[in-house]
Amino acid sequence: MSYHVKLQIFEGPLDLLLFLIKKEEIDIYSIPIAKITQQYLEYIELMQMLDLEIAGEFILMAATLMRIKVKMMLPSEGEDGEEVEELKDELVRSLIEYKRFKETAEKLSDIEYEERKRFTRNFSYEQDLKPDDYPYPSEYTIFDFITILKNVLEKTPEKDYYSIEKEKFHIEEHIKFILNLIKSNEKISFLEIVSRRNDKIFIIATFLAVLELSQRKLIRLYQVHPFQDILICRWN
Amino acid sequence: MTLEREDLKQIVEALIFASDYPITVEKISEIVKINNIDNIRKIINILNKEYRETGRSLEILLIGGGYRFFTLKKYYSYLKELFKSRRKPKLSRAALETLSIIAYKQPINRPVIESIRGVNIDGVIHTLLERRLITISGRGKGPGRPLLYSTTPEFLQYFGLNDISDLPNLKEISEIVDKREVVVNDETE
Repeated sequence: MSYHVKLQIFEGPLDLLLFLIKKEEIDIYSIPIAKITQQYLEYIELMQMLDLEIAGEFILMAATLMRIKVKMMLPSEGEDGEEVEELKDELVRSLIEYKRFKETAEKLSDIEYEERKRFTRNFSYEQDLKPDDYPYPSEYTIFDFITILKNVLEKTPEKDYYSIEKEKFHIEEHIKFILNLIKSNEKISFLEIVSRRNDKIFIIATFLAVLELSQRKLIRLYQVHPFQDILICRWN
Repeated sequence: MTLEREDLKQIVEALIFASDYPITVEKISEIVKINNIDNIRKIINILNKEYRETGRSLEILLIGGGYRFFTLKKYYSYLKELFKSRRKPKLSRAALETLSIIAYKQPINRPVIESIRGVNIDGVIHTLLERRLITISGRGKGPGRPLLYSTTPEFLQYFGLNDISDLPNLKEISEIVDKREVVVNDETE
């Protein structure tokens, strides 16, 4: 019995760009377009390979980035030059605006955390709330985990991993495997599991299984060092 | 009818305790028939002072425009055991980001929120509506007359705020569009 895992991602292209800007420690007011476009496309390609739901917005952003990049390579004359400026400005403006709201959200999260320490009489409707769909601990995004996968795949000796055909991974086996491991161990390391076999398909399938289990809230995920390893723990 | 001051303190305390919604100072004033609202506030301050001095585990706070009893934060680890299985889950990052945008730019419609976050927000809006942190506050003008969203009194309760103006950096954030000149690096490869 096999089934096709369709993982959802909850983030959008601006999240990915801000993620890359933070990861590469880029100054948001002075973005190296070529570099960021390249990184952005690498992530999109990887996400496509993992068969994640890539919203049209991601592709649209890819097109915008490439357009800016191309226009900057050509000699700018008058109208053309202005158009590029506008595109760039608009992009940076929306990144900054979104970043401010992300920071605000973080402040609200801190306030929420503190307020949860107080208790008062509850109103009856509060009982039946279900948790959000969002599956990952709040400090991480899907891009953090994809980065770890990227690092692992790059270290695995094989000629070009981008040439892997889109396969239907039979994830169920890998899911069972991980659940078994977690029964006897409180914490397991993703790197340890995948280092047993130098097989890219195994690595990717294991990765997808881990994400799926996290979405099902059967395991919890943590990063050990930034982008180094994923620690898999029991849900409780 | 004038009330002895000692008695008045107890009455205010009892009203706040028994009310099943955060009680406003106006409501208290109406019931005890005292027009001077400041006196009511003074009484509540006195109550809180007494609670502190006698080591009580409760305090009265003004949140969302009304008064309620709360347990002190320091007893959190015990109180949470009471609600272990029934606790409201914390909000996801996506929900908090969307909520931030609504809180600071309300009333605001869905397309504008989506253009800021760069992603579809149907699920998040549903969650926030379900938790009564936002509500539909009207319809915008313009094509499609999209629904407008605003935060609710429950939003203020949830974040322990008395009023929307208590949000951190409200002024700074609502002037967001930065006219600053930006330089985008066109390094040659």
